[in-house]
Amino acid sequence: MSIEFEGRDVAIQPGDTLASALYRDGVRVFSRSFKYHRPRGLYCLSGDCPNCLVTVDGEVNVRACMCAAKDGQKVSRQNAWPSVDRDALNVIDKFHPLMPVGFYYKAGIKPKFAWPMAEGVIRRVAGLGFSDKNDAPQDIDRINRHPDVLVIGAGVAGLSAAIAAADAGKRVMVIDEGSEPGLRVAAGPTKDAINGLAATAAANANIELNPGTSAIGIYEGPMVLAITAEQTLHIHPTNIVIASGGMEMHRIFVSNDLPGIFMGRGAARLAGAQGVKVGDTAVVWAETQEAVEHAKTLAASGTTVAAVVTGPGVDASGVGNRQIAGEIVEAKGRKKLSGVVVKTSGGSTEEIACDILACGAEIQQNMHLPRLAYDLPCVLAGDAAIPGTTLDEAAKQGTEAGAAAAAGLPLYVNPPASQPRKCGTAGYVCLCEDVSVKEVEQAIDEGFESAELLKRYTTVTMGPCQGRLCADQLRAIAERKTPAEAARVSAPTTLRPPVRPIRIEQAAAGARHHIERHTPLHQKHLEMGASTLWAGPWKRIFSYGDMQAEYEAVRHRVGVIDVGTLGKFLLAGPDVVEFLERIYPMRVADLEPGKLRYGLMLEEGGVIIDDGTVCALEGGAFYCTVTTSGAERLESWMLDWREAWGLDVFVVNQTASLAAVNVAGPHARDLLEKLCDDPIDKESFPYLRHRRITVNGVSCLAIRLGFVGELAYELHFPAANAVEMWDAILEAGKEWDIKPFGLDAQRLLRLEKGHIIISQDTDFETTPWKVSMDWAVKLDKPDFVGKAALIRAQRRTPRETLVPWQMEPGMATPAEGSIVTVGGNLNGRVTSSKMSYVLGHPVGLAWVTTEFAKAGGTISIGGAPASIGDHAFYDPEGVKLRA
Amino acid sequence: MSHFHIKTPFGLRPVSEFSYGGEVRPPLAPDAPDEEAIDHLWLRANIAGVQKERWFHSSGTRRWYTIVRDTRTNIVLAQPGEEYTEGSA
Repeated sequence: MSIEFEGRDVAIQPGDTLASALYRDGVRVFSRSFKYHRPRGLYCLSGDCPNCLVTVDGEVNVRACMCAAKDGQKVSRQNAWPSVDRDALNVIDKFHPLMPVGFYYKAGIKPKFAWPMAEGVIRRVAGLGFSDKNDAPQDIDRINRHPDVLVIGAGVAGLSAAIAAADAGKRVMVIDEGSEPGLRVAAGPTKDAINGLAATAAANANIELNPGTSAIGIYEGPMVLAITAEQTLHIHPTNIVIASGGMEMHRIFVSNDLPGIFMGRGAARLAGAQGVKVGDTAVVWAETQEAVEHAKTLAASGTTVAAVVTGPGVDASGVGNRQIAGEIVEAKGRKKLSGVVVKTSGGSTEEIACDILACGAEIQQNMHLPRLAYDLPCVLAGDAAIPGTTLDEAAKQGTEAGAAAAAGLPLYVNPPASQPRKCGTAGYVCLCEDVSVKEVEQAIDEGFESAELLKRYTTVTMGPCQGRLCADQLRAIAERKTPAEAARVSAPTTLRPPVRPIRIEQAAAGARHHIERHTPLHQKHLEMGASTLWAGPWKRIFSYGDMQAEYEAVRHRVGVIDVGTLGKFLLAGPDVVEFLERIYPMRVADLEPGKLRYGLMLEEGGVIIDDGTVCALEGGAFYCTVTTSGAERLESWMLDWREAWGLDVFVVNQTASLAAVNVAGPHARDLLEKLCDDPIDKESFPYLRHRRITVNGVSCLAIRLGFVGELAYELHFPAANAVEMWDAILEAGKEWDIKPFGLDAQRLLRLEKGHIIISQDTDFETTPWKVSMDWAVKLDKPDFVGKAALIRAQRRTPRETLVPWQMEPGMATPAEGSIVTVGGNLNGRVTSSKMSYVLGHPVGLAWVTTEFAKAGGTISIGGAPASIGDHAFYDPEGVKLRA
Repeated sequence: MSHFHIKTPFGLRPVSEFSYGGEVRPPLAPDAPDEEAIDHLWLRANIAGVQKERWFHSSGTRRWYTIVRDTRTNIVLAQPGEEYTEGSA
């Protein structure tokens, strides 16, 4: 078993992370720092620092210490040139004075021309890794979960809480970042405790343990967002127990970023849990009693512990070669650690040679999740509640927290406000963004005195660690520099999710969970080789392969199109006429049963939002159609107005229950007469009328309308009869070589008639006045949605008007969206454009300033002349559709 | 990413089933002056606090519901049909 690391094989062992495998193989420098390209090695081994970000199988910024090593992975380091081991860009480290903090705001202002060049270089040198632009995005599922109690963290406190809550009969979900509980803990009492609890939890049917799952945010509800490699979880528990633990504080001293310097738990994890010999000679800085255990772990793994430097109250008797009360003030070495300078409690300093320094600093709460849970039904336990808690305390707190969460007690436990703590006077505050104490102090001198301002100006806390290492230190420096206003300048900075780095795909989880709606004929279309496209929630038919043939069939013979996606509404009730009069800008009250009328729909601002037809039925009901993409929205829109007006109207959405087809072309009547015994001749069933007729044995609402400009019948009938109806029409049409046609052909047919398509030709400020549809608006009605705004809009000439245009035969069809110019000046844009087969030249619609929107005028589209038309290009008198 | 529940005749349903319909506002008087009409059309109060608002149960009952919600905490202070009085929750 091995991974491929920068062109060579590195052996891996069971339980290895990438970090442990590479370290065992001798890799010491894992990355180069963000700004100065200083060498950086493993430090926290808990996913909290930025030092081990590598590229794995093309994915950038993977935390090597959190990524389980798998056979065959390709791993490389990033952010260096030509290589991390010999990074030429490290030369930047020599020019600190030229790159002060706030460099971006200060440098390159003058001379102005130089800045874009400098910026280009900086952008290339800075940044973390290069993403593969050809990488295909992976679809991540979004899953909703509803446990009674969610426990975050499977340590001693978390598992104790889970067991207590489960014993109280609750369904408990436990999530933890590690691949199994306790795996990353060195052998010892803590590991034993976790293993014991994990076994108990595993045997409890009420507990579901989810390893490899990171909580990345907590929201009101409460709702916890968590990620795994394959899923993004939306967890909706009743109560939350946060037992996300603590971590050692980042200690600041001269050269505190050298490879070889570890956090205490990090070194212990590598040595004790992953079986790696960390180094030859180690110094352990033990500010806590726990860290003395780390020294033992290191010694047990074969590393000589030259000294244990103890903080106040820590007893390291018998551990390591020497015990010195004091603190570390400086690290020695250039590319890696060669020794440390200890300042003893007596005040003297001493240098000790070593290649490893394990900083077992004071424990701080992992503050991110607790602070996001502020004021939510959430209980804290373990280090997350009281940093530095003992094993017994953690177990006790966990049990209490679990019981409280199970009881649903209104226990809103807010985290302790973290206090700024001690902070060295030299060294790196921020490993992510390469900011030293000196630079922070300099920023304070420049006037950025509070932590929140310092954060923005220096970018400390804004790197991959998101303030885990540096937030409290930044506050401590601010407080030290301005002690008189300590409370104000050191107020904690705001924390936001995600608290762990996530991939864009994880953020977009579920974005492609679309509901895809099909008409009952969809399968028929696919069998005929149709291509589809999205139209609102629907998949509609674009073409059956030969758009021109489909088009010719409609113009010269007969064609049929599936219009089952149209929004179809039955409206009835005592107030239905009043309701429709207010919904539509045209008149409805005078519409006799059997007749129909085209109608626009406007919003309150007078902007066109949809169009369709209104059929007056016998008995006072109405049947209305709206566009495919508008159906969903318009239903809620109509219901909203119904309530606002308090009218007694039923709105029945029949979009899915009815199928609809439009039979169009000179032979449409001939075709239907073969399938229908009812009279459908011109006199008994004229244009803009509807009838209930029986076609192929099925009762249909037949509507004589046609946006395609030919004799046409639209048939609406139960969806269950769709397939047999479709087959019967195609069979009956064989003698005229009938073709089913798709949207592509329909759009050309419509365009030749000059009909607009709402939202293709119109935008969010299109009133009927701008598209010359004054005829569809009756301002003398008492009121309708948009009337007041239309009256206001009428006071001045619209800036632009939609016009039909055509070009000479032989000219290339301009692209939709092309620029319109008049006299060489930008004037408008093309919204629809197609080559008309029947006319032999391109036709389309365009927005043109009203001043030039005159029939017969000339505009220029993409440099080619086009003339503005009057109305329809094809059959302007509408003789054919009235046939 | 907010999460709360709205009461329907079929019980409390998660907000993910609803689409937001905006704050409840008084209707515009037909003879309102231009400034008022413009404000009505284009400006929303966008309250950070207690707001009466409409939700359409698009993936469910397909009805409108009016609730009172604190936009800062997403706590629903009055479910449909309930009266909201200041201070109650």
